Amino acid sequence: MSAPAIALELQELQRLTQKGKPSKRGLEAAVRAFTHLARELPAVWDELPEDLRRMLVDLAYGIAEPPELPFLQGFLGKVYAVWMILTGRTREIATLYEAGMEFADVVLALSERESAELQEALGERLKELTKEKREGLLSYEAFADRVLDR
Amino acid sequence: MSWIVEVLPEVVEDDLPAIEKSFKKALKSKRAAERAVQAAKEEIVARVGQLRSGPNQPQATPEPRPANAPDLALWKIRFRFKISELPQGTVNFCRVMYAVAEDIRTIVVIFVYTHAEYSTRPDDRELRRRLVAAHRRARKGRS
Repeated sequence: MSAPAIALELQELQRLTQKGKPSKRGLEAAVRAFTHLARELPAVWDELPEDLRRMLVDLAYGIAEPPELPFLQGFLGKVYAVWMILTGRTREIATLYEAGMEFADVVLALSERESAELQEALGERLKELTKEKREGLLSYEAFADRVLDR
Repeated sequence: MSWIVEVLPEVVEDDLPAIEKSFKKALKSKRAAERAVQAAKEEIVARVGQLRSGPNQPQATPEPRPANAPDLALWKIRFRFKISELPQGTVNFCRVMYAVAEDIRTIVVIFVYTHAEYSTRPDDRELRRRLVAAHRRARKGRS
């Protein structure tokens, strides 16, 4: 998977998970996008800026909820596993592994990634994706100023 | 001792434009819609400002948290816009949802919406996402 393709997936995933309740098609697209990202990101996780890591955890939270649609059932464990890998929760990974969840392909990806170009592309893409709304909270005063155009 | 009140940027960038859209749909006159939007913004800012005295406000009730959400108390204020231009209908009913981190005396407003956008409350996926963001950002550099 090329770096530009990853960037596009990331953008699409962000778009799909930012809106309220996506359609079945939207969820399927989100799942596909997350699967691709999960395979590419673990190896470069330590190199990623904090903002991107936070965003990805947000995305994982957005997806990893009890599924309402049957096609998500088999994917739920994998999403949790990916999130745990990304956040370094190795003990939970071991527990899940012992429970027989399917994430061998994700673990495999940990040792397969090596592209410096990929890391660089992700870092650049982050600058575009990390907008003001993801960076912090507005103080009450800043909120009032913005809302009332003061 | 007053509370720290902060607001998720999504409230300004996503929620208020959605309310504005509802008003424009409900009101045929562009000028009336503009007046109503301005009045609503002022009222919302005032309600949020009142939170500086604490989370327990008149017309506020605790809300159940979505599953797997961070350990923040979730509250919602329900009120009706008193704006003459607005028709009697769902756009009149406004909700302000906020998360409370009592240990650091911080309140984070995570959602503002009218009954026209959500009849009860936003779906748990979006609520959880915003609670996670509120939790992380409110504690950054404070705990």
